[in-house]
Amino acid sequence: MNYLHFAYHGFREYMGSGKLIFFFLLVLFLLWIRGRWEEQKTLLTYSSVIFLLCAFPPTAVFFMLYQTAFYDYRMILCLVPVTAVTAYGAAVLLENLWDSRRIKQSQKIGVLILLILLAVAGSRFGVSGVTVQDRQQEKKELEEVLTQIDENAMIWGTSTVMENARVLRPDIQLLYGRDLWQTDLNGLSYEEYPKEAVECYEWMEKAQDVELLMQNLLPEFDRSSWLIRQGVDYAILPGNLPEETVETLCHDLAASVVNSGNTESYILLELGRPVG
Amino acid sequence: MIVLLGLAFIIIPWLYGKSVCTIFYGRRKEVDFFWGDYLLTGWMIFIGLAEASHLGTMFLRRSFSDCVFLFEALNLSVLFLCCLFLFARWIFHRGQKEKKPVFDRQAFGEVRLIWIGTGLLMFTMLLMLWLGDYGYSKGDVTPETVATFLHTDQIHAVNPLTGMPYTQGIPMRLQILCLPSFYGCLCRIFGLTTELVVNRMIPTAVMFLAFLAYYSLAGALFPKDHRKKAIFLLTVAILFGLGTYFDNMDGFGLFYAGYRGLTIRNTVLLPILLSSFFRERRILMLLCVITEACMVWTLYGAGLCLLVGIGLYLTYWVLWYLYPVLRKKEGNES
Repeated sequence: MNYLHFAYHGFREYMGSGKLIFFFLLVLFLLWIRGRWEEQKTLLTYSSVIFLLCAFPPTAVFFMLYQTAFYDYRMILCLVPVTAVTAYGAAVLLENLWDSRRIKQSQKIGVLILLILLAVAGSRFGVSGVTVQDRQQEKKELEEVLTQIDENAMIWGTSTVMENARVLRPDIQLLYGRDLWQTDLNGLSYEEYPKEAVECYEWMEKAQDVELLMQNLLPEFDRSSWLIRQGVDYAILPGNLPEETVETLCHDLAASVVNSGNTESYILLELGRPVG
Repeated sequence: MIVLLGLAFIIIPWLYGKSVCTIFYGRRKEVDFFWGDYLLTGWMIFIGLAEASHLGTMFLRRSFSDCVFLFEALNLSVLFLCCLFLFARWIFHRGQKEKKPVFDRQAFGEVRLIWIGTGLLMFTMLLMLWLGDYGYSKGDVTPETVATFLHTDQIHAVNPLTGMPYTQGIPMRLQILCLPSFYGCLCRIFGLTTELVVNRMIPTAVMFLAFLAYYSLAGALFPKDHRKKAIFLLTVAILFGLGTYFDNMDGFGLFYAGYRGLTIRNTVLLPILLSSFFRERRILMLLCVITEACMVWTLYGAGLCLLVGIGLYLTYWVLWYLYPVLRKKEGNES
């Protein structure tokens, strides 16, 4: 029943997410009604049938189980050759338009430039898509902080730190990995984290919340002794943390603030090195 | 070193592909292979060799350095055999005129504007991969795994997300996948960083291969129609550009996660499979199925390529039986 539920909602989410799937359906529809399907019978019949099978929850569940049941429902839609069929339809249906003598060469160039601009700048074509940001600056700042950390040290930091640190410095160890909050990664290993690690993560997330900081509502960190017992060497805190909070943390963790160079995005604490 | 790796990405797979295609399809009368087909086939063999070295090292519990050595040895051996084969073939067929596909300059000229537009779009997209750092890491640990292999000199001994030894281990279904070892070998051999190979070089290669795969498909769908081929490829490029909003769209994978096995499967292997189906190249279809099993977690090797292949053949056979009946009925009614 769970799988049926995933299949039903997965399809609705997919259909509601963007417009490309409608281009695919439009192309299929036009090719069928204009009798152009005979030119590529197999491709168009296969695409139509497989799309219907993916849309129908019981058959979609079969495909999900075939796909080891680990992948999302959306992944089974890779069975539908959306790009190939849409492009095929465009080639068949637009061919005559391009050939038309009524359209001047300059107009063709204009249309091409518009299409290129649309493809390059029009990535937000979906409704509830996934946002991916440029992480160049973020990584540069983190790299700068990581240069001040000793080899094979263990660190605890913000989610950005925990996400990128192991690629930039594979010698360092992390208190927990991003599989703690990214549930998609659960199938990749059998590792589990203690509840203290989850609490440390939750506190760090709150420490990045500007609204909480403005209202002075950041809870006190009460896992200092556990952190020390785990052998954490460095803590990388968000740069906007209030001075009093940093001082309290330094006291509890017997840590001192390391000069973090030019970067203001992070505060680097070295544990086991009390101030004074 | 970046240029050298780029050249290796083109020359080595091309030699593999040319040899394999000549062995299996050399006697065919029709000449419908172009250099891109060789490159695509060669990449599948390249990945296959990476899988062989990865599995060999992993099951023998040897170090990652041994995996790199095995990968180099296998590639050099196969490369030597391919060169020997192609040289011998050239010696034997020196006198004969080789059938080459005729390049229709006039037909190409008619639609040069579309080709220029497509080329410009492709170039812009490849440039965009190098200008920003838009890696999408959700649900994937490849970059960390590669960095960990290189640092620890061991395969799957340490949790790549934390750097600490595994307490519960990692599922075998993931251990057998070769892409982290493949990328790690490239980093070690060419002395490049994980970031550069995994986030730049491989996505660039995959995007280029995706365009080649769709060009090959266009050739299969419209064998002699340059105009349709050009519009097909331009539409593919536009769809790649537009489809970056959702994480299972081809464009999204190419721009943000080009190094993933799923992206390679969706944007390179599936178009090759379709193209091979229309050109009746069953061995290449089988190669697609095997390559997918090397990179993506499948049901004991039965992945989407197999399912799509079966689906296409079933549709073909059903239509082959039904189509004459339908036509007959239509004729009677009219």
